[in-house]
Amino acid sequence: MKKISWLILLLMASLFLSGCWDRYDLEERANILGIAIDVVDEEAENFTIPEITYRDKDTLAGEEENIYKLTAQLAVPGKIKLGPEGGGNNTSDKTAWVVQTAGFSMKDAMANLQQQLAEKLYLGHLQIIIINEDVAKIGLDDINDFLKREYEVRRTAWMVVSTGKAEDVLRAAPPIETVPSLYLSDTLENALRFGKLPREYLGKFWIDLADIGIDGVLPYVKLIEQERILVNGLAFFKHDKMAGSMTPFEIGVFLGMKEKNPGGYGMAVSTDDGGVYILESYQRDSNIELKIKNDVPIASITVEIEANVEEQSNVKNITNRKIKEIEEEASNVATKKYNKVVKKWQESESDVIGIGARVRAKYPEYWQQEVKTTDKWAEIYKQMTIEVNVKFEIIRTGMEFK
Amino acid sequence: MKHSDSVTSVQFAIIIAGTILGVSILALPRFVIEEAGNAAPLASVVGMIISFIGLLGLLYLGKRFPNQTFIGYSKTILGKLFGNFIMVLFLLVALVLIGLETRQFAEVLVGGLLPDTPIHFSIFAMLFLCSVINFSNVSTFAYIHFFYFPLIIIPLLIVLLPSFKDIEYYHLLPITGHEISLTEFMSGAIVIMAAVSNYYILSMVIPYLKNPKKCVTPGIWGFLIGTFFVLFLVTISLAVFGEMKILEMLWSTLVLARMVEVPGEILARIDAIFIISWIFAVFTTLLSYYFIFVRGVAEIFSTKKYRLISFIALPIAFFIALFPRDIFDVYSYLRVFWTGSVMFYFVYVFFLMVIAKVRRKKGSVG
Repeated sequence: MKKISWLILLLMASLFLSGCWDRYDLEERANILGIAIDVVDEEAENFTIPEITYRDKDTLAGEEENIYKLTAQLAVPGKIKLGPEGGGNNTSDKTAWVVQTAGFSMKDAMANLQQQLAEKLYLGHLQIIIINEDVAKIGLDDINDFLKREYEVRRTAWMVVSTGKAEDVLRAAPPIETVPSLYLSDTLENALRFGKLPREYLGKFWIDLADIGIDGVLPYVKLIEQERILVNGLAFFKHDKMAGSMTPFEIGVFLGMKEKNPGGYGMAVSTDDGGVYILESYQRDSNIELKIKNDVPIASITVEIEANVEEQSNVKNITNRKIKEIEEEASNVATKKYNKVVKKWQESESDVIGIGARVRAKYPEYWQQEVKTTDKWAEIYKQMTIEVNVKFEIIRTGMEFK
Repeated sequence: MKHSDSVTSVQFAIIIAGTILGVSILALPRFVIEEAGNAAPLASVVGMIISFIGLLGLLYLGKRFPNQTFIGYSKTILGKLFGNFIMVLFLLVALVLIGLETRQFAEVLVGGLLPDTPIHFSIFAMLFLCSVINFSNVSTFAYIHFFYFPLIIIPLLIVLLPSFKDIEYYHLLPITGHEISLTEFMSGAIVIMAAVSNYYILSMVIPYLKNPKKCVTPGIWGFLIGTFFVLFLVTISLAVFGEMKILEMLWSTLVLARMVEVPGEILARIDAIFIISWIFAVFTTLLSYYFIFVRGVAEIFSTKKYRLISFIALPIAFFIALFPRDIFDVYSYLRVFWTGSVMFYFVYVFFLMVIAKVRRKKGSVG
């Protein structure tokens, strides 16, 4: 009896010797670092889609579907030489492999891509997803669905909208970094640290898309000189469709109202005596107050900005009294500009600061009775009064006292 | 009956807290929000208060019968036949829950961590681990809980605390929810009651306390620690994601772990660490269920063959775990058993208390 039970135990123990089913060596993986998505012009570019997931125009129930062109940047450690870093004239177009395919949807395109490659596609290191403006205007729901469902995708990856072809941005060849995608995501990561971008990476963007009464924003980038990207503003959305874009100055406005710190954007102010001062925000503080009057919500936003004087031209006259004058002037100018920007958002029905979400949170009965749907909210939002009041406060003037 | 092995008050509290934090922490915020919407944190508090009353009832019974377990005093109070019948039902439910919870655990592994590993293996490994634990000694069981508890709560805090910077206050308001009826609100509370109801493990441990009469304070502490984390988790998840986003996600806490960036960027991905700590949480909870089952069956048959019982339970739990065909099945079965069992325990405890008073039954003074 005892021998038999020992034997059974030993047999059971052998179950634990099976090793790991999910082992994929690093060099067997095709790490996708960046993805660019464009719309393909079927006739002009002569792309054919292989029948892999068998999604074609017949199965789409008569719906006219766009064909996506997917460009992926791969790093296969051990297969593509990445180093030595900075040694020789290794430009990045040699070190990372850029592959391209097309598909009716994200999964279709990914399946097509896998069919061409020996290594297993791995999205765990995905840093950046670049979306062509045209794709963003069609809508991002389908693309997002695949990315949300795929468990490998990090929620801290960036999604950006590009002016012009997204694949060109992905092919950008910065001379100082061997893998372009990493450079691109570093650019954004650091812009965030300097207070030039909101913390609007994939996870946050998806939260904003799902929420009622708030619209998402994504960084809006542009390729310059084939080697680096300019953060050219923010693309703002209405539902999942891009509705317009802000200039970098307007990002400052957006960040100010959202109370995102640290401050990073400057503003030029001129006084009567011809002096021009550039103030850079240091700390932002904002207070959004809501009221319902005659069944219409009214929002008044007070933004307080603590700023440093970064530059003074034409004159040399900073004194205690002068500072007051500059502060006043800056507050006036900023108030005007902020209001203008808000008007622009209202016109495109894009509620990026989340007035709707706040109204819904604060006046749930009002929302239930008057608003109900997001379409109705867009109408109300377009016509409601939003008043912005900016107060500048200069706290430091740098190493110069005058 | 004198017990050679004993459990300290701190261990007792930790057993309760560790059992409460279990498999469900991954999807719990969604379960509550599905029912109670924006009112989820409030519903959780209400659910916890109701559970707390049940806890007090159970502690009262433990004090009244300091030398007997739940099984033991059920027999004393209700008589041998009826008491045994109810306890057999109780243990069967515990066995089904072992199976289903293990399946839920394995589904997470397959869906989010090890897609190519056969699900049978994940289930078997976890159940096997539980069954080889030596159940003849209660202090071993207590030590295991004591050892794993910090490994569960520290990673949970690492995920939850940095999430504060992503909180949007409008996700939490209004705290009474958008047009939530009382029924919906209460079913949200019941979900939480079900999630924390496994504190009844304490009724199996009380006789092994150094001083069973002093079970109330550590019992309450254990419950408060466990439920605090549950409440914290539900609130933070709602505050970060908002009602709409949570309803989209299968395992919202896992996604929360994926969004977190630890200050200083020491670790790029915190979710791997979180998953590991969650496996510990699953293990301690399943271990408690297994403990209830093995010790309970042994007590009904008045034997000490714990090892035999745990190895007989292993294949049964394994097949129960494999029974649901897909992940939607898993959750609908779990729902039924959770809500069913929580109602039963709650009513049963007070039923026992009343009968004990009426029949003037009291535990023997040890």
